Amino acid sequence: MSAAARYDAVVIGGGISGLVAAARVAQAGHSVLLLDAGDTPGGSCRPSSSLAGVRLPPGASHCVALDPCVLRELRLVRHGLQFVYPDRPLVGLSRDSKPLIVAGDADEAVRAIASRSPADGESYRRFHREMASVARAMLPIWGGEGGAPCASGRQRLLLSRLKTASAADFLNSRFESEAVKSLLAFDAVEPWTAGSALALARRAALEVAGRQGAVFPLGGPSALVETLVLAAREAGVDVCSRARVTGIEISGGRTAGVMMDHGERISCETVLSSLSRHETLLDLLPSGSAGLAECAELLRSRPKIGEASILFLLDAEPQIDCGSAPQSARFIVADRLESYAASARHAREGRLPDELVLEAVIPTAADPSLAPEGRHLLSVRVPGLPIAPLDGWPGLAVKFVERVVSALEPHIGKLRHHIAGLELRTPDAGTARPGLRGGDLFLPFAARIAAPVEGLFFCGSDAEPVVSASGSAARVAAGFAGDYLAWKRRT
Amino acid sequence: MTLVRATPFHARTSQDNRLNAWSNRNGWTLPSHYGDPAAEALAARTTVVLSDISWRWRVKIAGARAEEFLARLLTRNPAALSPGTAFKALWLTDRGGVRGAGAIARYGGDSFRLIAARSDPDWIRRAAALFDVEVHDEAGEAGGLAIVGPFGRALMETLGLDAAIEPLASRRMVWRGLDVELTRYGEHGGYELWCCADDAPILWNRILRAGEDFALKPAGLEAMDILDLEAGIPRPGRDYTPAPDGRSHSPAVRELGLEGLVDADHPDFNGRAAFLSAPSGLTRAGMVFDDGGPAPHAPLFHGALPAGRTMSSLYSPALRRTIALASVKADLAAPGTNLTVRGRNARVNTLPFLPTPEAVDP
Repeated sequence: MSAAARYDAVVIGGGISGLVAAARVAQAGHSVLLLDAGDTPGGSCRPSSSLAGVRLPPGASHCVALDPCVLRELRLVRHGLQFVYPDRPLVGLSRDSKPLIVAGDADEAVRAIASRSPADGESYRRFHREMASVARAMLPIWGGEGGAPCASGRQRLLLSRLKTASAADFLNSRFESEAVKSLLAFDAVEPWTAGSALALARRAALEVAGRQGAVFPLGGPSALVETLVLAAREAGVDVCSRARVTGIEISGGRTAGVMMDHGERISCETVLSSLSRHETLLDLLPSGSAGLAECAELLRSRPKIGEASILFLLDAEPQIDCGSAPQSARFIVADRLESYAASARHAREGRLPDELVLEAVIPTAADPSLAPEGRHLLSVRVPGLPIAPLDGWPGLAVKFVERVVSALEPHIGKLRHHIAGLELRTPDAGTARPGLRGGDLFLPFAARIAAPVEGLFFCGSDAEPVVSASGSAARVAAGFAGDYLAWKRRT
Repeated sequence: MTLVRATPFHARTSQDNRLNAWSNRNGWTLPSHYGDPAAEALAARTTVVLSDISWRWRVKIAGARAEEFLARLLTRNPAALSPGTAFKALWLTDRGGVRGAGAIARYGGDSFRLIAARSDPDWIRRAAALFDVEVHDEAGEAGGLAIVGPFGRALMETLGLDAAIEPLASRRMVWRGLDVELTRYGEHGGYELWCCADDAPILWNRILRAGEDFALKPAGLEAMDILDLEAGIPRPGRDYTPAPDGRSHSPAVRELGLEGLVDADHPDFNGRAAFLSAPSGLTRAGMVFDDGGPAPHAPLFHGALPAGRTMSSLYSPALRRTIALASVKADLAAPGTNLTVRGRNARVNTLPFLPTPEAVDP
């Protein structure tokens, strides 16, 4: 990279999205530079730094649901990427009753739910069918192909309801058992917000689109990152680590280059940012250049609620009492549906919620290679936490971990005795997601990818309908950027 | 009970407002006229008038990044302003709709004042928050008087004030014991004198007494509106509705004929891309009606085809005709083109209808 470096496209952020976007733009014949602030590319998928020998970062085991198109187009399998297919049912853990197992197979799930409440069993059969049908209807929007939702009369009716209802209301109208409602609500991200009901269909949509959340790269997300780096380099991308972008330069209303922390400037035609909309438009662009109304709105809507993740390194295999479900399941601890709204209320006030809602996964149950020999991992995700608590996260961290361990101990015996190490990712650490806005789920990819500045595109997980590292948004954004560059060349 | 939001001159204007004719502007209660709006408008062209302009929205903008903020907000670059000078500019939405228009004056390196005919506090404050710039609304803190007419300059000299001050300039001074600010931001070649609210009655008395030799009359809002219209100046709220939100396309700058307030070379103002790419279908024109009364906000036709619409419309006592501002199709904006409004003939006229009253030596 010389002092007068010039590229067609600069990609900010070397996570899964950034790598996919960079590789796809380069495949279209453009010169691409990928800038990543870390020591190695990977973003939030970079392996834990404090736990030696662990190949997993906190929280990342859940968010990878790779788009099969990316797999094919970047020929990742040829680059050596392998997958594991763990059986990953949803299991609701409760102190007072036996675990509730909602298996991927709808019939098994119906039987499990009917043992609690026969009416809910039948409701689940209907719910499952409804979600699959909505997911099919939403495929043109969520699948990144563009176009309007393709729905029949009944689907349209259901869609218009899901578009406006909160997931909590929708679940309340379908089910009577608190255990079922609180278990299913976990996937709605923020189940108390209007429009979050549509997020319930997101998991079904991943299955319909052929990218089940249950397919994982062997070796964890870092193995995927390594393969993506290989694919990107092969496509001609210049990958540059330890390169923090401090600003995007605008000239004549369009992107002209990026500025780096050590004062270097790189000129380019287009910029693809895998950072969040907030970070990109408020922190990287010159103040207000994304439009005063847009920026003022973003400033007002800076997220207040985020998610923390903890990765526990254990010296013994954790045994969760989960009946017939495998240890590779997703375990949800949520006592009641009301817990979600209560924790959000507390988080907005800047304090730790009284009732924690959390999801626990044992990544080593599916892929033992993620931890050193004889060690095991337990990955926990806790949504509904304050991003800026009154006491500050450094002061709150110990208390928070203690609360998480206490919440898990009834289900994992002697957990605290087996903890050999842990890494905590607090909600204020970088990738805080903005609140789920109902309308967002209905926006076509184009609306989330396009920025108010010519030549700037979003390719990160923020551009996905529901935050995840699927590479779909990156793929579509790369298409946009390629078209933009081709148009610039023509004119 | 309705509270009267009185200007600092209310005690004096209410003495002269014998017919008790009041209007509301920007939330302030002001005399509509002092008996005869036509005579007041003519006096502004023949002698000199005094009008209460305390209703104008004034905000102080200060902070280390004030210049950067105003460069983004306004359609002209304040970097070119030296202390004590001002320019007129617009502020646009993200998509090029007109949110407001006003004069921006520089007082020091990082201190500015915005003076506008219509307040827009939410927009300015939210935008300023992005730049950590302080915005202080000065509503009610100061009283302002406009002195307009051919004898205005002579009156200023009699008062012992600097009559030679350039248009769009400002001077702060102590004038016979009062802290005043003299500006020339108005469109009618006049002077504006601002003082603190408590000194307002003294200022009014001094000017009225000195004006006796020049047949000085107080003028109400109606007379000043007639002057505005004769000068061809579209005003927010009266001639057009400013963009209601931050993402509105309309009203477009060219449709209001305000492109003179936009510096297309200023690289980064808000709404620039939309302004440059907006089609130039409509433009501002003056209309003179052959007969009949005012026809504000009415559709205009060229034969049977729509040609645009009028904005505000008034009877001009100086022209002895009903006139109107209009937004008409660019190809029909040539002076002399005959259009119809509500079945009556209307002719396109050059703007301004009348020149600004020139200073004379009595």
